[in-house]
Amino acid sequence: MIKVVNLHKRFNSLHVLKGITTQINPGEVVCIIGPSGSGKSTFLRCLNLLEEPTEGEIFIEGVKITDEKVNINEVRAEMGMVFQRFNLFPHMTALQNITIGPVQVRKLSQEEAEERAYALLDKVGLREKAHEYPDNLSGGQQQRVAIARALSMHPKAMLFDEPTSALDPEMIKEVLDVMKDLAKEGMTMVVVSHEMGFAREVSDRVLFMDDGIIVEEGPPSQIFGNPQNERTKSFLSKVL
Amino acid sequence: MTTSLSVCTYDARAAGEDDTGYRFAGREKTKGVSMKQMKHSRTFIVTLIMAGIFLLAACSGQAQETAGDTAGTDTVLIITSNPEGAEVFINGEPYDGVTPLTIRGLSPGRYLVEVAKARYRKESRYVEVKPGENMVRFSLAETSLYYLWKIAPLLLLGAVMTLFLTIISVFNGIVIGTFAGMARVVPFRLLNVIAGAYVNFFRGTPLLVQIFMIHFGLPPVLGSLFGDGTPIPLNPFLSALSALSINSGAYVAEIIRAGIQSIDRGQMEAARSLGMSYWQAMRHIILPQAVKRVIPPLGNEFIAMLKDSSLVSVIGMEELVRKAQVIVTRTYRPTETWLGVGLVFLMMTLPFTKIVTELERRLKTSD
Amino acid sequence: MKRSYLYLIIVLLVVVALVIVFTNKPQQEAARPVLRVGTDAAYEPFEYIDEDGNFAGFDIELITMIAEEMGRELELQNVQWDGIIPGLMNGNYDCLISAMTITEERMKQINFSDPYFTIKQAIVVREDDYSITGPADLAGKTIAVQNGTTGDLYASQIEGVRMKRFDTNPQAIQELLNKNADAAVMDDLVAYQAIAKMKGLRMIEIADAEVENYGIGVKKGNDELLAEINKALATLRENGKLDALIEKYRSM
Repeated sequence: MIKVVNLHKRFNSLHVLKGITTQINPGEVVCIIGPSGSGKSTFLRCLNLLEEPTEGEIFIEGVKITDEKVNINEVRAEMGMVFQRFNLFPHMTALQNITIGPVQVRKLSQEEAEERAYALLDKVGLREKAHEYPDNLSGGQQQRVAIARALSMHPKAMLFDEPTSALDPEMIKEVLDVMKDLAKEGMTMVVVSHEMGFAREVSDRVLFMDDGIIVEEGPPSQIFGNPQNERTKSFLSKVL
Repeated sequence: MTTSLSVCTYDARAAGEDDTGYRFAGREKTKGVSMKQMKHSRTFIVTLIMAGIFLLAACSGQAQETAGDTAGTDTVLIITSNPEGAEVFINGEPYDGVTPLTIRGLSPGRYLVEVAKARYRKESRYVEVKPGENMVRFSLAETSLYYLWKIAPLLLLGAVMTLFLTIISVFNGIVIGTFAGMARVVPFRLLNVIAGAYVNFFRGTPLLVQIFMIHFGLPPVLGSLFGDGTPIPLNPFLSALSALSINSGAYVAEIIRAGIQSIDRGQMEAARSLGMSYWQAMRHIILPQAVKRVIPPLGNEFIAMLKDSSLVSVIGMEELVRKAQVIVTRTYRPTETWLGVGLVFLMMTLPFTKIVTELERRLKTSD
Repeated sequence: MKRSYLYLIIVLLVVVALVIVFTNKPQQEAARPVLRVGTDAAYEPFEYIDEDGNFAGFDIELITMIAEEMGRELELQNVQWDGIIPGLMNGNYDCLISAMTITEERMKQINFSDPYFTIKQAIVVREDDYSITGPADLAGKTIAVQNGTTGDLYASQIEGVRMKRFDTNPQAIQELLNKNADAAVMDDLVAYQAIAKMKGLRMIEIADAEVENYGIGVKKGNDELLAEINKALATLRENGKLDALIEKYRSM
């Protein structure tokens, strides 16, 4: 569903992505692991054009989104994004955070949007917090609301940029549980994370990135059990 | 009283009565004291006492009477003062009555004349009283407090104009500044450049210079652009408002730009990730959050403008400072006048400073 | 909430519009034509603001009589000395009367009426300062003046002086009183007024000072108005009113 061909990204003189080519199929859960500075987040952010590729092409369901003529907003509406720092809108309640997308972008009525929002809140287990403001929620709760918000647009795929890295340990599980449920439901997910446990358990494929390229990719059993590449081995030995 | 007594003394001696002391002399010729009666001690004493009383009465009465029977000392001392109604002291002793005052029958000589009125400063002068008419005029100055009280209404009128100018200019400034501030932030290069030029120019030149440029420099330009070449004059009020508004706009633009840019990038990213357009994100996510951030600096801009508006005095605009200048050129009392002006400015700025501090506090907690 | 902001904006815009309309008074076509006059009313006894806040002084009385002769309504504007000529050139007023000496430099920018008053420069010093008895003693001293007056010009040419220029004449006098200047230079009649009003000052006449003439300033090209003003002045001279006014002020 997502096809990436020879993706390069330069920030001025810094060459961050040095030719990424890969594919993500519908329903697949792909985890991207690797050391800091490897370009994992940059790659993810290119997928919904938060970063503009310097070179290369990205196709989503056959549409070349790197083409200038494409409506970026429509592209992004189909790709949900969950951020490391949640980025909830602080001047809105949890419910409003979830309804604003559908109302403004999909032009839904407030009532319809709220109906959907309540359902999503149920899904992430936070219905009772519907009218709370983000600063009254814990980190884990905020991230779950953020996931619900991303889901409010009924995206074709969900992108997760280190979703648990900013959470206290006791809250990581509640977020990972929501993500596991999503995966079970068949959502196409691309997850950048340090949570190896999640990667091993839930993902269909793992991408190991280092220094701007995909060093090794394959099923978790291979990457974690039998890494082929020296760099992969070296990285895993440090984190596991 | 001293004066009266010395008059009595003088008269008595001149009258040429027997030199038994002044108590027997003067007016009581009618008493007819003879040597025989003096031998009777009781009547003697009674007469003495009665004479004394009569003499005293006569002497105190003398001060108010017009001189008719005094010999060769026709002096008239006319004391006037501006304002009238001041009390008079001659050689330290209070005189009955207030200015304008005419004192007759003073013996020629040097007197210390002092004049005092409530709420005015005491004035004193040495006066040489010569035979004939003597005139002395005092100009009384108000005490500092009374002076301040007197000019207060004028200053307050000026303060009203200052407030008025400030409110309108800052309001205009906010309108202009919102457009300019956003123009600096939005991803349109041309707008960025134009707004940047405007903001840099009006923040980089002194307000005083801007006021002169608009009031004196603009009319010929306007004349050649819109008229037949003759300059189109601007009245001071228009120039003042324009200069202050445009200047305020530049500062507000920066406040708004800073406010918008202080919102975390992640907010814009999250909004765009949902599929919102740039403007939708601005309108629903960024600007509502920015508003809270810009209110305290805007409050400070208002307070700053309250003070900076005083510069329009240079084109004759009748606000607080100009009013004070006109007063000073008339009364020559810069110390009290400018102190009063300072106090009036404080009265205007302190309440607003308190409000801004309170606003900052409230907005911080709700963030 | 949004509605009330809108109302507030409308109200403020209306107020601003009204203010602009009412302060930009157009020429009154109706009754009599107006003579707009600019003056720096901080120069006793020629022009100043009296206790009641009204314009007063020699120039004020003179221009009132002139306006009457011309059959015009008088409108006085109190403007700062620095901007008085630019204001005339910009058309803020039709003429200026402000104890302004007719000089070559000024004639380059504006036209003057026939002279209506003569003065000479004089020096004002503190009462107790006897070191200055004449212009020769001013060398090397600090002199306070009103910026751009003929007094300023006169003093600036003296050897080694340190000039302090102020926007208004009273400010220069104050500087002298505060002992921040050794002397002040101004028109003689104004000096008289200053020493009469303020304590601690005395005046020194400059015997060989140039005789200066005051004129009414009119924008170049406005010959019609200039002719009218001169005609009015001539009339006042003929019927003795001008001389009577001069006598009144000189004898004060």
